[in-house]
Amino acid sequence: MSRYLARRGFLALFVIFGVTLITFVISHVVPADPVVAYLGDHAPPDLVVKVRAQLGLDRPLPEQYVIYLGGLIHGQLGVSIMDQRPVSTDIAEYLPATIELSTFAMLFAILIGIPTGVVSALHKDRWPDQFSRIFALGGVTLPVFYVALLLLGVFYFALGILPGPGQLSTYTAPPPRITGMVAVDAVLAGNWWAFGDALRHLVLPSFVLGYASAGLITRMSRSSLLEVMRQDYVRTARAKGVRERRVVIRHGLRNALLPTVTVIGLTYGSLLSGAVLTETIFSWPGIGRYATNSVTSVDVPAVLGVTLVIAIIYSLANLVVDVLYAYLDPQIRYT
Amino acid sequence: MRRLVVGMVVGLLVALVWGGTPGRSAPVYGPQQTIVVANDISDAVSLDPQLAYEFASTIADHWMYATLVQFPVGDLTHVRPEVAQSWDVSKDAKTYTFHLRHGIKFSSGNTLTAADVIYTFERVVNLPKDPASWLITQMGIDAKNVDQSVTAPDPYTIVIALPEAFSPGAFLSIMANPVVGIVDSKTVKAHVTNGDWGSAWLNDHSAGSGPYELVAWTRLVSIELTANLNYNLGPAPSIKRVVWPNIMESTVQRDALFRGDADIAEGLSASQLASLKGNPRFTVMQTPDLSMTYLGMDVKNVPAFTKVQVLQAVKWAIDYDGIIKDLLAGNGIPLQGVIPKGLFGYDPSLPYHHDPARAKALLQEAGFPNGFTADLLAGTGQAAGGISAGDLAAKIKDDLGQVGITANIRQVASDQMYSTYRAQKTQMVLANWSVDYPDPDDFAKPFGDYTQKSLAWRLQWYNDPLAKLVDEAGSMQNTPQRSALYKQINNTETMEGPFAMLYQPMVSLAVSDRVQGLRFDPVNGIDFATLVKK
Repeated sequence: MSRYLARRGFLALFVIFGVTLITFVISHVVPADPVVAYLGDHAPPDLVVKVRAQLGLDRPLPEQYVIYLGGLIHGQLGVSIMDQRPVSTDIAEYLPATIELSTFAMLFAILIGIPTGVVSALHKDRWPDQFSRIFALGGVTLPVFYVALLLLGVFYFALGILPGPGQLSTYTAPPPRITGMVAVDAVLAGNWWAFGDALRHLVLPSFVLGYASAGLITRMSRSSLLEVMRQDYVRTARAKGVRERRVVIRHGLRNALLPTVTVIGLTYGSLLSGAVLTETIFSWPGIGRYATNSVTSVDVPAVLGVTLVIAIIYSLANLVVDVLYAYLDPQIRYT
Repeated sequence: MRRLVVGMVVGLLVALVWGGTPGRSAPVYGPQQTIVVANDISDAVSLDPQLAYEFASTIADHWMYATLVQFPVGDLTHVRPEVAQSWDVSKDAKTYTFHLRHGIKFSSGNTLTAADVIYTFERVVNLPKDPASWLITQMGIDAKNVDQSVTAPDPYTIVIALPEAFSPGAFLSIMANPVVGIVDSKTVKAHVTNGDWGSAWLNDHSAGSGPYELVAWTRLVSIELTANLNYNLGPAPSIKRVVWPNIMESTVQRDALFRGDADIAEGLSASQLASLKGNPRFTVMQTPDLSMTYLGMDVKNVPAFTKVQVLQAVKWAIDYDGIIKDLLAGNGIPLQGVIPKGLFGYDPSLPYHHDPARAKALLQEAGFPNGFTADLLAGTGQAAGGISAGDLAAKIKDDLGQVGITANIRQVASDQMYSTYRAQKTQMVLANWSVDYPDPDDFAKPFGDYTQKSLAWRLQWYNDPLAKLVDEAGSMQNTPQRSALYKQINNTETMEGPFAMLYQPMVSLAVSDRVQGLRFDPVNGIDFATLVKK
C-alpha cells in the first residue's frame, strides 16, 4: 500500500507541474493586461510602464516562469498583483471558508442524495421514484444562482426565518481567527452565540450547493442499490426471514454505497475548488470568488496559485477515494 | 447508526434555536449608532491612503484621514479649510503656503504637525506600484525633488513649490483627495516592515485624524469603522460605527435593505430603484455622478470617421431620450459636453437630438450614402447607471442601424477592452469616464488634450489648437474668463470631437426611513458625520 501511495504521489507531481505550465502559458497568451487591470484605466502610460517593470512583467516569459518555479520550490506562490499580498496569504485566508461551506454542502448532498436514491430504487417506476428523480434533476439542471436567489427570496426576504448573506450578522462579534472557519473558531473560543449565528448563516448556502451536487449521488445510489438488490445474497437473506428493513440497509445499502463513495469523494473535491456563484450571492469569502477575480484581472500569480491548490485538492481527493475503496471492499487490493 | 444521526440532527436544531436569539456583540455601539451600507466592496486593494484608488477604499479613507483642505458636501466648486486653516498662493500660482491648525489630534492621541504632512507626501512619491501616485506626480513632484518641493519652515507651516505650472483649481482639489490623507508619521514609522513604509500595517489599522478609525477590513467580507474618540476637527458624529458588508448581488442588497439588515443600499439596478419609488419605507436619493458614458470613434482606424460630418451623423442618430427613459428608467441625465453637471464649466446645452433623417443627410454629404460597417467594442459587465453594457451596446447598434451604419458588437472582459482601447486599436468603443478630482481640468484634459496620452490620444484625435486651449483653461482659477474658455472647448468637442456623449449617470442610494438628514455627493460619498438614525 505504501508503495502504491508513493507511486501515486510521484505521478501527482507530474500532473501538477503540467498544470502550472499550461496555466502559465494560457495566462500570458490572453490579450488583457494585468498591470492596467491593477492600476485602473486612468493610469497614464508612463506609470503603466514603470509599474510593469516593478512587477517584473517586462522580462521574457521563460525567465518569468523559471523565477516562478524557483519560488515554488521554496514554498512561495508569488505576490498577487491585484491584492499586493503573497498569494499564499490570500489562499490561507479564503480556503478555510470554502472548506467549511463545502463540508456542510457535502452533508446536505448526502442527506438529500442517498435517501432519495434509496426511495427511488425501492419504489422503482412508481410515483416516489418519479418524484425523487425529478427532484434530483432539479438540482442538476436549475442554475445555482437561481436556486440561491429563490431560496433567499423565500426564507430571508419573505419569511425572515433564515439570515441573509455573509458568515455572521453585523451585530455578532466575530470570534478570534484560529482555523479561518467561523463556526469552528466560535466553538474553539467558546462563543456559543457566534456559533449559532454562523450555523444559521451556513444553512442556505450549504443547502443550495448540496442540492446542486445531490443529483449525481441520487442517481448513483439508485442504480447501484437496484443492482445489489437483485443479487443472490439479498434473496437468501429474505428467504432466511430477515426483516425487510434490515435486508435493505444491512445487506443492500452497505454494498451499494461503494460506488457512491467514489462519487461523494469526487464531488467533495469539486466543491472544494470553490463555488463562485454561491459565494457571490451569499457574500461568502471563499476561494471561488478569489479565483474568478484573479482570472478576470489576469492576476497571473494568483491564477497559478489557485490552480495549483485546486490541482492538489483534486489529486488528494482521487487518492483518498481510491484508498477508501480498497478499505471498504476486501476484494480490491492495490500493489 | 440511526440513533447517531437522530442525535446529530437534534443537536444541530438545538444549536440553531439557541443561536437564534439575538447575539451579544462585542462592539459597544448598537443599531441606533450604527449605519450599515450594502455595497460591493470587493474592489478594495489597500486601505493605505497613499495607495487606495478604488471606490470602496477611497471612501473609507476619506473618513479616516483628514486632508489639508476639503470640499463641503454638495458644493464641489470651492474647497474649505480642514487641517490647513488658511493658505496663500504665489502670483505665478506655483507656490502654496498652508498654515496648519494647532492641536489637531490623530486617533493615537499624537498631535498633527507639518512633519506628518511631509511624510505623507514622501510616501506618495516613494511607494512602489502606486495607482494613485500619478495624481501628485503629474504636478511634477516626484521622489527626486519631494524634499525641495514640500518643505516645513516651522511645525505648523507647509510650503509646496510646484516645479512647473499647474492648474490652481486642480491643485487644490487634489489636496482634498485621500491620496494626500495625512498619516500619523510617528505611528506609521513604528510599523514599517521590510521597507514597506508601513503599508501592510495600514491595511488593518488606521493612523489618521478623521472622525473615524478602522476596526477591521476583512477582504470580501466587510469594512468596519468606529468613531475616533480623539477627533477634534469638528463636532463628534452621532453615528459611531459604519459597516460596509460586502454584498455583490443587487437583488441581495435589496433583500437586506427590506429586512432591515442594511440601512442604505448603493448598488441597486435601475429597475430595482424604479420599483422602490412608491414605497413609504424607503427613499431613493439621487444626484448626478461626476462621470459620463460615451461612444468613442477612432478617427484613423475607420476611414469614415476622418470626416466631421460622419462624427456628427452618429451624434444625430442616437436616441438619447430612449436610453435615459427606457433603458435607464430615469437613472441618468442628458449630457453632451465634456464637463459633467456639478462642476465649474458645465454646459447644459444639448445641440443634438434623435434625428435619423439629418444623420442620413450628413452621411450622404460625407460620401457614405449607404453607410459603412465598424466594430463596436464593449465590456461584459455593467454600464454606469445600473444597466448592462450589452443592453446599451444593443441599443446603440439599433440606433446606428437605422441610419445605415452597421455596428458589429464585440463584448470582451473589461480588462481586455481597456488594453485594446489604450493601444489605439478600437474602431468604436463604449466606455465611461469618471472623476479623479472635481476640477473641470480633470475632464477637459483627457477628452481634449492628446498630449496627455489619454482618451483623445487613444482615438488618435490629435487636435493641437484644442490642446492649447485646454492647457490655457487649466491654468486659470474659476473666473468668467475660464468659463468662456470651457464654453469654447465644449463647443469644439461637440461639433468636431470623436466622442458621442450618451448620458451622465445618477448616483442612486436606496435609503431606509430610519435614516434622517442624509446628504451625499459623488466625491465625498455619504456624509456620515451629519446623518442621524431614528
